[in-house]
Amino acid sequence: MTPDGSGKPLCGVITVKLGLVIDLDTCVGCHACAVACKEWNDGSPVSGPLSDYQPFGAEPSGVWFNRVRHYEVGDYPASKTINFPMSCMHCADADCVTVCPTGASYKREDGIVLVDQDKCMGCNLCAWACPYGARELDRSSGTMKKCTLCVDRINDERLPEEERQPACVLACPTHARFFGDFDDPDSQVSRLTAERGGFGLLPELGFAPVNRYLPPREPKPLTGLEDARSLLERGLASLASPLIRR
Amino acid sequence: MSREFIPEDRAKQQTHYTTCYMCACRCGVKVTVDNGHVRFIEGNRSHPVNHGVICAKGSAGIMKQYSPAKLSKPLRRRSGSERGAGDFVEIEWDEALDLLTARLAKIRATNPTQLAFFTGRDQMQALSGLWAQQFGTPNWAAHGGFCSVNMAVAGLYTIGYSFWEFGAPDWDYAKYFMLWGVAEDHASNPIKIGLDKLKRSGAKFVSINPVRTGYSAIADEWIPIRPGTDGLLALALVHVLLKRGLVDWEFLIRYTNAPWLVVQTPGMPGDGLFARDGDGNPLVWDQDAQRLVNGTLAGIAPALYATRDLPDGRRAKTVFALATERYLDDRYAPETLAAECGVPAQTITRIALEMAHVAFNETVELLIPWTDMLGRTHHSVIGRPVAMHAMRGVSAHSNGFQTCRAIHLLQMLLGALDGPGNFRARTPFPRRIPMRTLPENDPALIFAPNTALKRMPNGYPARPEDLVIDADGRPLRIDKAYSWETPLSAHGLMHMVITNAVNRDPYPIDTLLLFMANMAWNSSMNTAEVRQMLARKDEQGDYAIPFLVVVDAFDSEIVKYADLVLPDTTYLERYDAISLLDRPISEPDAAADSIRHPVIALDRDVRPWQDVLVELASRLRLPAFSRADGSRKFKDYRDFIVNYEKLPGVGFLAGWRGKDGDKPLRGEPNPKQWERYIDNKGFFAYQWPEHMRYYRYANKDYLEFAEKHALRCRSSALPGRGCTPAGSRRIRGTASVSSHTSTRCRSGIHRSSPARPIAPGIR
Repeated sequence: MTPDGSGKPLCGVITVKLGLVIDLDTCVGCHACAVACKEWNDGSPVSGPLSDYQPFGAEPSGVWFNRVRHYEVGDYPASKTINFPMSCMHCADADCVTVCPTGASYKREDGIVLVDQDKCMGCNLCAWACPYGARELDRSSGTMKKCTLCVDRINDERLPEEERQPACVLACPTHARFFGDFDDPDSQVSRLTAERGGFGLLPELGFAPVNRYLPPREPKPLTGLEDARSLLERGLASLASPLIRR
Repeated sequence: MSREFIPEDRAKQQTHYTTCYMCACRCGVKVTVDNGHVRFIEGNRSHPVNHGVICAKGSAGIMKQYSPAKLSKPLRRRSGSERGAGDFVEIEWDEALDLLTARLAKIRATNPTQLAFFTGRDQMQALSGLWAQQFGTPNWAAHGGFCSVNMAVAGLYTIGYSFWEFGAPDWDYAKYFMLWGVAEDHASNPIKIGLDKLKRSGAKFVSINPVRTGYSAIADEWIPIRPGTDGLLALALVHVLLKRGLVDWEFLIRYTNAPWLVVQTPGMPGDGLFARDGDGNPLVWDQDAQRLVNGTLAGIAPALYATRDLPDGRRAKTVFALATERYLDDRYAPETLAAECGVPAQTITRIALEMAHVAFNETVELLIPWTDMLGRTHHSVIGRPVAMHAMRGVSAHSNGFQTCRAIHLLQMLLGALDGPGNFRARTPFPRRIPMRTLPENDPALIFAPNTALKRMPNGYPARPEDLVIDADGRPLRIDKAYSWETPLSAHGLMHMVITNAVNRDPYPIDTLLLFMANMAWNSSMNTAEVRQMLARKDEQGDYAIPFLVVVDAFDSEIVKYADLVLPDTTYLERYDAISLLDRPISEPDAAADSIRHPVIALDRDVRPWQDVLVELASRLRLPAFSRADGSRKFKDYRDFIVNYEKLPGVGFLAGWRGKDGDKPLRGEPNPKQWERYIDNKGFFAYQWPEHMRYYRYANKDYLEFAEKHALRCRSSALPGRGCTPAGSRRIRGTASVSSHTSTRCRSGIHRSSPARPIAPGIR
C-alpha cells in the first residue's frame, strides 16, 4: 500500500508499479525519445496536444514531456558528456499530487501519475513541488502537462502487443529505455536495475521516484593485452619477407 | 479511482509502411494516418536498416509534412523583377512544362552541355543520371562532392567499397571499434543500434573526435585529436604496426597488391606504374622459383620486400617495400606526430598494440565453409575483429582522401576487411578496383546535338585517357570533374558549378536545373557569395547564368533566385524507388532495396519530380524513354520503374521480378511489383547465405552470383578500357596497398588462413 502525501491510502492495494529504466551507458543524447514522445502525445486524448509556440518560426519552443539534458563531467582530456533524459519519475509518494488544489493530479493504481485536463487550472503548484522539472505549463491550454507513460498505448489492446510500450521506448535507437513493472521482481526493469545497480534520482527528498537510471558500464579491460604486448614487442622488425604462398 | 479519457478511434486510422526521407539513412517507417492526416511516424520493426527504431528527425516528419514552407504551385519570376526578390507569378503546370521543354529542346538541338543538371541529397540518382545521359549532357552530379566524395573515392579505389553507404561495421562480431570523425550522423540509427550491441558485448569503442558529443559521449576511450590530423594519427598507427611486424602477412600476400613490383624510374615515363609481363599481368618476385612471375597465380611465394631489375633493365620495387620505407620513417613515429595530432605518443602506441592484440589474439572463427576465387574450399571463416567507420569529420577536410586511404591501409595491415568483426561491404559493393564505370569523355558525343551519351556522366577514371578533357587538356564538364584539376572526383563536384558557370570557366551555360539543392544555403563553399553570383549580370545586363530552374518541395533561399520553380511532393505523397542501381540500402548480410508510396493525398498543385522527369524525357523524346516512332514509352514514373530494364531482367527494383514475382534480383518486369513491395512493408531483402557473407572481394560463390545478377560488372563489360584482365580468370578483386594508380585491372587472391593464436610473422 502506498500512502499519498496525506497519509491516507490510495485506492486499494497497489500491485503494479510502472516506470522506466534509462541506460546512461548507451544514451547518446539524440532526442529520439523526446521527439517520438512529443509526436505521439501531441495527438493523444490523454493530455494532448503538446502545444508548440512558433513551431516554424525563428525561436520555436513548446511543451515537452521528456527533455534530454546534457552535462560535461571531469576535466579535459578525461572529460565526459553525460546525456540525461528526464521525464516524470512517477513517484510513489508524489508531492505533485498532494499539492494539487483541484484534484486534477492523481496517481493511478498502476503507479502512473496523470493530470486530469478537465480539472487542471494551470496554477503551477505541482511544477513547483516537483524536484525533477517534469511538469510544464501548456500556455495554449492553460493546463499542466506531463509524461503519461503513454497510458493510451500500453493498455490499448487494439495495438499489436509488441507496440504496447511508451513511444520513447519503442523509438530509442540505442535501446537505452525500458518500460515495465518494478513490483514484479522478474520484470526486465527489475532485473536490469538489480544487475546494473540502477538508481533513482534525489532519493533523499523522500518522494520515492520509480524510474531508474543505469550507470555507465566499466569498460572491460582488454584481456591478455599486457602479456601479448610483451610477446609482440619481441616480434620482428626485420625486413625479411615471410615465406607465404598464395 | 477511474478517470478515463476517450480513446482514439483506431478503426478510423490506417497504417502504411514506407521509407523515411528525413535524412539519408532511408529507414523503414510505419505511418499512422487519421482522417487523412499524419498522426504518427514510427520505425518499421521488420526493416533491415532500422529494425523498428526511429530517430528524432524521423518522428518529426510530421512537422515537415505540415510545414507552411511547402510550395504549392509552379512559379515564374515576374518579368521585370530581380532574382532574389522572390517576386513570382503562379502559373499552371502546362505552361511551366511547355516553357521548360522548349528551352531544353533548343539546348539539346544545339549544344547539350548548355544544360547543367545538379541535384542535392537526391535518392533517385539512377533516374536523374540516366535522364542526363539520355539528354546528352555530361553536366550532372549530386550532392556527394561537397560531402563524402573524398571518402568514397579513397574507399572505392583502395578496397572496392567505402565508409558510409557502401559498407558497415560488423556490430555483432567486432571487439574493437574505431570511429573516426563521426559526431551523430551517417549512419544515424544503424550506428546507434550497433553501438548498443558493442556495449552489450563488451567490445572496446574508441572515438577519434575533437569534441566529445553525440556518439563519442559513450565511447570507452575518447581521443581528442586536433582537427584535420586524423590521417597523421592513422599513419602513426601504421608506423607502430610495421615497426613491430604486427601485420597480417598472409592477407597482404593473398588479397592485396602489396607484393606487386612498381617501376622505379624517377622523372621518366612509367615511374610508379606496376611492372607487368607481356600479357599485362602484374609481376612479383617468387621466392620459390627465384624469378619474376605472374603475381596472380596460385601457389607462388611472392616476396613482400624485394627490389629487382626487370627484363628491360628498369628497376622495380614491391609496393610493400615502398610503403614500409615511407611509413617506417621517423616522420611517422608517434613521438614525431604526437604534437601535431594532439595525442600523446604513448596513447598512439597503446592504441596500435590494442588493435593488433584484438586482431591477432582474439580472432573470430566461424565454422562456415566457403570457396575462394581460385576454387579452393576453406572449412571456416576467420575474422580479425577490428572494425572502423569514418564520416564527414574526415571526408570534409581537404586531406580527407588521403586520410581515408590511410585508415584503409591500417585495416589492410591488420587483415581486417569484410571478415567477421570488420568493416564489411554492402551489395553491390565491393566493386572491382578500380571500378569499371568510366565517365563519358568523348567530345564528339558530348557536344553532339540530339544525341545521348554512351556512358554515364559520372565514373571512375584510372588512366589519363579516361579523363573528361578535350584534346588540349581542358575540362569538358562545368564542374571540371575528372579533369587534371580533380581527376578522381567520383560523384562530381556540385559545389563548383555555380562559381564555374558564372566565371564561364571552362564555358558558359544556358540553364542550371537544380533539384532539392539549396546552393545558397549549403552544398557550396561560400553560400553568401553564391547568392551574389546567382544574381550577377554581364555587361549587357543579362544574368551570368541565363536560366535557373529550381525543383523543390519547399521554399528556400535559392527558390528566391529561380526563374522557374517546379513544386515537388513530399516523401509521404509520392512513389520512390531506392534502388540497387543507385545508393543501396543493403546491409552486409542482405542485398536490399525499398520504395516509397503515397500514404496521404495531395492537397495542392504539385507534382512528383520523378513524374516530371519522365514527362520531360518523353516530350524531348529521349531514346530510353521513347519508342522508335517517338511516342512515349512510359506513362509515368510508376510505370517506368516497373518496365524499364537497364539490362535484360535488371530494373530499378530488384524484388519480385518475373511476371509472377518469383524471381529475386533479376527477371522480366512484374506488373504487380509495386503491390508486392507494399505488401512486404516497403522493402525487399535478399539474405546472403552464410558462405557468401565474407571476403566478398575473393569469394567465388558471391562473385559469380553477383555477376550473374548484374550486381557487379563482368570482366567483359569494360566500356572503353583497354585492360581486359589478362588470362582467362573472370573473377578479380583485391585491396590496394599501393599508393600508385594502376593502369591495369588488379587481380584477386584467396584466403586460407587458419586461426592463429599469435601475431602473424612471429613463428
